Amino acid sequence: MAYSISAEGAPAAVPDFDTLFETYQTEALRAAYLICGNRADAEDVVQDTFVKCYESMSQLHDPTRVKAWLFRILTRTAWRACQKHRREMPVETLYDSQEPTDEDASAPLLRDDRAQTVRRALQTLEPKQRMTAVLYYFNDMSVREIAQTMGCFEGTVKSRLYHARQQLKAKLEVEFDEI
Amino acid sequence: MKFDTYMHDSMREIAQDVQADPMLRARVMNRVQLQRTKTRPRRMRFAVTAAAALCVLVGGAFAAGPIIGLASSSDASDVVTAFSDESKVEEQVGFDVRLPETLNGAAFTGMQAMPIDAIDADGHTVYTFQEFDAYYEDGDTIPFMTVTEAENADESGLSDKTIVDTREINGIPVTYREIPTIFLPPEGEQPTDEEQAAADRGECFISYGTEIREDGVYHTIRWEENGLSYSIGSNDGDWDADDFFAAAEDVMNTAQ
Repeated sequence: MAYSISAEGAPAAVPDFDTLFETYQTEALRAAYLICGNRADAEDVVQDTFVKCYESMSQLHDPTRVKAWLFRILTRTAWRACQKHRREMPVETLYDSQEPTDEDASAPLLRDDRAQTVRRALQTLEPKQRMTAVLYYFNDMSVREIAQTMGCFEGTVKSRLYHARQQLKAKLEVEFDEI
Repeated sequence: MKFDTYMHDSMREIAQDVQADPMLRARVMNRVQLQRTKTRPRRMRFAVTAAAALCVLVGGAFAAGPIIGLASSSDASDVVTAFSDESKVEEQVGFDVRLPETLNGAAFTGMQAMPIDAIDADGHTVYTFQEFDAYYEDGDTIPFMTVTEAENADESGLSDKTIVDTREINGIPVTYREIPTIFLPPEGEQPTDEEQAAADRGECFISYGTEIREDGVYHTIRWEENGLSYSIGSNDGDWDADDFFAAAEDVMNTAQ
């Protein structure tokens, strides 16, 4: 089935799987990277996400909800990965382990200290707060879209965003006076 | 600088060098190819899952990467329903099989030649082999028989804890297993840590694709004869171990 974009910017038809993958693979990988904090886990999350998408494509009938549907699966998959990762690694070593290393050729080169500091601050958030922040700031989703994506009330999203902002500000204010 | 703008720009900056590469695409498409096997009839799903889960075969003997799974693109439209067409299907797979018209009372409903691709982590087909599948029906029990050359079959990925009984029929050892199965919806409920650990140990199967969680038991009996591996499997159903041994005996007593 062809995957076309309507004048309003919403897909006019539910895409086939290959089109879905080609359209969203990079955005999904980047969001997963921000949530997981490292490329290897992000790739695992993206892989599992698209496989689950493939398995449940028949349940997707509304082309306007393709992205929310995809990211709903992604956030749940990432949530599970975060939980598993947290159990497997002592908290005190978690963030150090997610720093890019010389050996990790796939780790992106951070443009400057600001990006690296934000990245580190992001990883200190509780996973659901972090997912909410990534969907809001990186994926440019509205509070309503995030609520639909994460399967929670808009008030919950607002609460998570509020607390994420507070924590991020507290972490970042030390280094950036302009905030 | 406004905080929201600052966060937006920073996240874009952090992620801008993260690109999906061909390896990721290969990983995803490889897994999807494995899932495509689930479009085969429900009664076959666990046979495929089991085969894929075993990660068997002889990957080290090939120049490409180790075999990580098995996949087939055949579907129900390839099923031959006339029992008299057995020789045509045998010609497709390249070997003759013992094919009973009834299996412990279950009536024959169809058969097909199933090309199976052994694939590596990059999604490349390392080699292909043929599988002979035959389907039967006995009320709520829908057994199916799978025959392949013995070198292409191995149960080493399954835990011995799944073995319920081993008997000899016509001097051939026959092993019967009962494997707990968990089908889950792609979204929502996930396996518990204990369930996932059991699956990793080969003590149960976990698969996705149902609307709600479904717990069941996959019954399978297997033996080797004349260089061929025979297995009879069924998801749930009414058959017990004795029924599966009787079905195996029906196959062994059928002329090849």
